[in-house]
Amino acid sequence: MSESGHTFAYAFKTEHLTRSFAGFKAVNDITLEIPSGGVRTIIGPNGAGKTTFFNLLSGLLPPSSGRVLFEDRDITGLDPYQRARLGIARSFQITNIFGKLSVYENVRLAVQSLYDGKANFLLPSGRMGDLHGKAVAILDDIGLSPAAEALAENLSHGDQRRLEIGLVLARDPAILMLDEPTAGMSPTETHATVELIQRISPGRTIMLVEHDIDVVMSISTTITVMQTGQILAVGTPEEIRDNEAVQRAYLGGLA
Amino acid sequence: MPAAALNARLVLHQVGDQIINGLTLGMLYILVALGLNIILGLMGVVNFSHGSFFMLGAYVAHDLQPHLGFWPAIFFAALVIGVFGMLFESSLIRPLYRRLPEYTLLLTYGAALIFEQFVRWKWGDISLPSQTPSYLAGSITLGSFEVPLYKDVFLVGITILILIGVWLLINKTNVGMIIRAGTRDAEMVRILGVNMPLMFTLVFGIGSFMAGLAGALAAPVYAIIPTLASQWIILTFVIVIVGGIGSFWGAVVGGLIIGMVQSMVELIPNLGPTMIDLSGFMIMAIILLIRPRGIFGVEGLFE
Amino acid sequence: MMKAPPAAKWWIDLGLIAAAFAILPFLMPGGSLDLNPFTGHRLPFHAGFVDLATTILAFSLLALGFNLLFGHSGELSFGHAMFFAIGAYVSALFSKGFNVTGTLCGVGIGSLQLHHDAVNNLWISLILSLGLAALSAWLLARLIVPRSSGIYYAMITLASAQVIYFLAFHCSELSGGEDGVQGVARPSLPGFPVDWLSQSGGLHMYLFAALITFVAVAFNYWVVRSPFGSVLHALRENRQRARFLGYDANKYRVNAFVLSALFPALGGWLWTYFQQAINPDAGSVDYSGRVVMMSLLGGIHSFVGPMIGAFVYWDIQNSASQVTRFWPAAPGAVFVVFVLAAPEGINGLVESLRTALRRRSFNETARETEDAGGEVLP
Repeated sequence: MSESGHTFAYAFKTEHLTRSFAGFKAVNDITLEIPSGGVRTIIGPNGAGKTTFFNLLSGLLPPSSGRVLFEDRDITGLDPYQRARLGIARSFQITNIFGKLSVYENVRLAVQSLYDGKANFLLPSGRMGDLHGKAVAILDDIGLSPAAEALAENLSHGDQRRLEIGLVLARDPAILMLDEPTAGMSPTETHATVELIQRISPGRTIMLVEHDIDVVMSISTTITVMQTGQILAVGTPEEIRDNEAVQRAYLGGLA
Repeated sequence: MPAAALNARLVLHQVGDQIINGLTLGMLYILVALGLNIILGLMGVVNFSHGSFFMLGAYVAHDLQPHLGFWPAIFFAALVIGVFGMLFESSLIRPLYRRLPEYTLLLTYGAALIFEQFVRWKWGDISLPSQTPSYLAGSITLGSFEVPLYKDVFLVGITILILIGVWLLINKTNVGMIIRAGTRDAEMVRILGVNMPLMFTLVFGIGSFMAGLAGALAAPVYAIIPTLASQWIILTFVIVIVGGIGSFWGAVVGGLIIGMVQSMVELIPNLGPTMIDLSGFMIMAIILLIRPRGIFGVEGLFE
Repeated sequence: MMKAPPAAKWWIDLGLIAAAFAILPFLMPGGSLDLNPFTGHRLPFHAGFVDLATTILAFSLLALGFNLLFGHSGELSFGHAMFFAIGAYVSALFSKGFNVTGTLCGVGIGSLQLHHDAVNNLWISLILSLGLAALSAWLLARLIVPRSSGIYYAMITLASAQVIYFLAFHCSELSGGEDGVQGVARPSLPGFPVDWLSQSGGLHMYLFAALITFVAVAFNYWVVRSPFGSVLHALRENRQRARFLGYDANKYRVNAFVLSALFPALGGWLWTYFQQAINPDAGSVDYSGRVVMMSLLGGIHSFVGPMIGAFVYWDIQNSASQVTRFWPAAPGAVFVVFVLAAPEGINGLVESLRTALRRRSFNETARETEDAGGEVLP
């Protein structure tokens, strides 16, 4: 598990974080602390700015203004690869894997990234410790060992999503950001994924964007509700369920 | 008159001439680059054959002139190239939309090789004779400058009229609205029920029409030879990079800058010939350093 | 616990390539070739098949370098001939020496001279060619890699190559301008007679080129199979994912660009000693485009594809140029057909044929096994 995971009171802190697209403020002046550990879920109606907020935290987008702090360190200007090396990993709404490479090669590449900048990559991979062993362990963990030699693009949708979780696990990240991990999954696949998330959550912070309200209520430690680029409410699942403003804005909107 | 003053007047005169030359060259660059940029912006197609369409416009106009007269030949040559572009797009480029945009560059590169040999076969290797009618061959006197009538008055004037027309088309019509929206998000426009394949073909035709028109207009002024296509297409790429991919004003400003600079550096003693060929690339390098998406470019388009 | 995937048998692959190099001079078509395939002119020395084979080797190097980017990293460089030209001009000028006084392409430079006994400096010229190509590739990559990708990258590399072409064209005091550098002496190899490379109607030159090319091919093979090569494949498949896994994508892209420039530079170096002359065309769009065509014709997603493509391209060009002076349309037309109908090239066609055959035999086996009431797979 991550060594730094528990020494800080918060995983992420944002200060006046704002991102606008052609004048439209998708994320509008969010100042928020996301506590360390547990499953921290973000919900909100479509267009609330959840994914944009994720993109700002993980470095896919630069903010228009404001700062992002990770464990007391300002990471606002860091590239995604630098954030990944600090222990921030994420998956995407649209499955993001190496389609034309084998499942094994996908995971092996994820493990190999630990040695980027430390080993000469023109030398054989044997000099980088047990890449193979670590890759196999992850494949077992996500239950894809039988499909190791298949091309990633030929996996079922559910297996592709699980493969992506496997990829982001390779660095043993302190923060794992999952953008709609169960989207498009069958009930069985959803159940397996929820189990996987619960199994990997100890010792790290899991951040979720999720639409499946049953999933949200069953695994979240806290829930953050977003609306029109701002934070509407933060609380435990019970508090959120009983929050009138949330019911009006979000649950009411669903019905 | 003292020698220094005479010298100063001479330099001033040369500078004035080069400004006029640069304006004309810039106008043709704008026409070619705008056509390429509209296609690139909407469809993500890098049309290497665009230079060939420019060249073919010149040759077709040359062949039509004895039958149709000067101005109708220019218009119909552009029309022929526009229609040809639409056929080209719907038969050869359309099958590639599912693939990486790089493949459109590859295909149109191969096609440009064929067009160049076709022109050599049909019209030969030597440049076309100029066929400006006599009433356009003269000059008008502006102060102490002799301004060639066709090259610097008609050509510049017509280009400006065409630019206004294209601007109105893009900004004030439904077709233009779809083009502008499609440049940002082709998927969304498709969802809204627009027939995108038809729109692509139409836009490709408009872009090709402009290349053909530029070629037909250039034929009386510049030496038209089969290798012209590859020279122009690379400069056009440079203009688009400098101005910004997919931008109307990018093509306009980029074309003017490159035309003017190429024209002005000719005056540098000794270095002139080298600088004409290299200045465009130098500007491109500077733009990449200070504004990687080009002067009017938008981040993230076609990457 | 599952086993590691079986290691590819590298000695078989490289052995086959070595065998192909050994028989290449005998594979050449068109028995009466004594025309320079570039110009259509009668060759100054008696050549025949062997010289075409040497040409193919030099262009294989160009294509291999190009494909390290397009095939392996997924980035289209449309200007790779610039490194071929750099390698060729550096070795030509170093071997011949030069003496420029006064101005160089219009700039006053005082005096620039190099006089020496060039014949014995083969390896120094090799290091200079590769070094200068690597340096210019690194500078260019530092400029364009962080600022462009996709078609933008293709357009910028295409335009950048024109700078080298125009410099060679205009700086005639040094480069010989349009005529280029001519009369470059073939070097003597240590332990061989002085003019050994020029003996046996080009065969010795071919053998030398084959040895050099083979070493480069082996190096290229090593690169694409190394962990570095795996990262390039990851960048090709999904650059965003690679970045979010912690890979410094731009660092890899710059390094790949520099590595990919070494092969054309080596090809240019060979080319100079082979042709004993070099002109600005070596850096032209025409040459860059040929390399693109070769790689795609052979198959960009296979290691040997670019080399097969070089062979096929020269076969087409050579045959067409004997029939018509409009021959460039022939490779152009073949290329257009491949882009449309067979983007995986000859290698892809062979692969799909093999898959089809395997499926047929698999189906037959399956039917037989079904009849026997057994199972096909464990």
